[in-house]
Amino acid sequence: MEDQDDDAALLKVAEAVSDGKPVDWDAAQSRHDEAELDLAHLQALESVAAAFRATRQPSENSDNPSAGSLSSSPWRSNDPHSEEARRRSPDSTRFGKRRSGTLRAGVLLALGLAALYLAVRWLWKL
Amino acid sequence: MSPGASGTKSSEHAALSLESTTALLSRVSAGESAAREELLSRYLLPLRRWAHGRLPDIARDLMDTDDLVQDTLLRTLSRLQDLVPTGDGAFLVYLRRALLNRIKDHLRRLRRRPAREPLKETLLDKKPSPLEIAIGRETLAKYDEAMLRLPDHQQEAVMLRVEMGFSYEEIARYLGCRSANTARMTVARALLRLATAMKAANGRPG
Repeated sequence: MEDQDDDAALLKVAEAVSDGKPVDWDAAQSRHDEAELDLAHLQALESVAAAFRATRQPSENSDNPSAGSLSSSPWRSNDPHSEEARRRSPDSTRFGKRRSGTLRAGVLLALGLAALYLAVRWLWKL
Repeated sequence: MSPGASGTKSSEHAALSLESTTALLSRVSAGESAAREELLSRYLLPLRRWAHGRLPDIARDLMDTDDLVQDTLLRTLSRLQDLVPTGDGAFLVYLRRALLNRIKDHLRRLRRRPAREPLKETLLDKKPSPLEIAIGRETLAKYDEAMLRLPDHQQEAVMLRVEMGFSYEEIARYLGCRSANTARMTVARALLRLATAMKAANGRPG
């Protein structure tokens, strides 16, 4: 009976890890001395789960572990090659970097042309 | 086309999306292209994000993660007939291993580049993947090793929930569970077993 209670309690801890909910590890370990090693590795799994959630961002809400599937769900677009799918892909950062680089070049070019125009006007007045 | 774009398409899509992965695979094996498209749309994006976490920045600059994932997924689908079904979860487990192997092979090829590019080799060695940065190379290796010790259906449950972030409702659908609660229990038990496997990987007595 005690083993079943321990098992149920450990399952609750495992559920919390799965859901990304905070776990009071000190309290859990004080309640389940014999399960110390399992809890230690569950704690390691907590950091593993958090790391996976973090690497799935920024397309998701980090507080909602299930958002990784639904909010950017493939259901939105049947076509994995669609623009929407590519925009949501983490590799769109490469595309984003190119766009900001082009924008920067455009701004510099515009400033350069403006400076050239002002210089010509000044020289003309001379 | 998004599910809401056309009434007929959305209902057909909704019907397909309720199927377990096993059922979809049977239909893919039978040559149904709609089932193949559904499977691709179900897993392609999550797998891309999964692979993104496994590759260091420099390797992601040098190769297209999309191509890697898509190629692996398509190759796996084309070899469905050759894969011996070992029960629920075999497909995703196989896919995970295939992707991990492809990533490792790619990183190994990058490291073997000729000496004229020593800078990139050094960068590659020093640049861990986002996951390795977050939890350490050793912990990730222990996690991966422990995952291999789980039965296929538990590996798949952990992969769907922890690695790919699927909801319990979706996991229940894909694994063919009766309800989201059953999926929740499956994941929790799989995590407990994974913790035990990590303990064994550490060499500590049980």
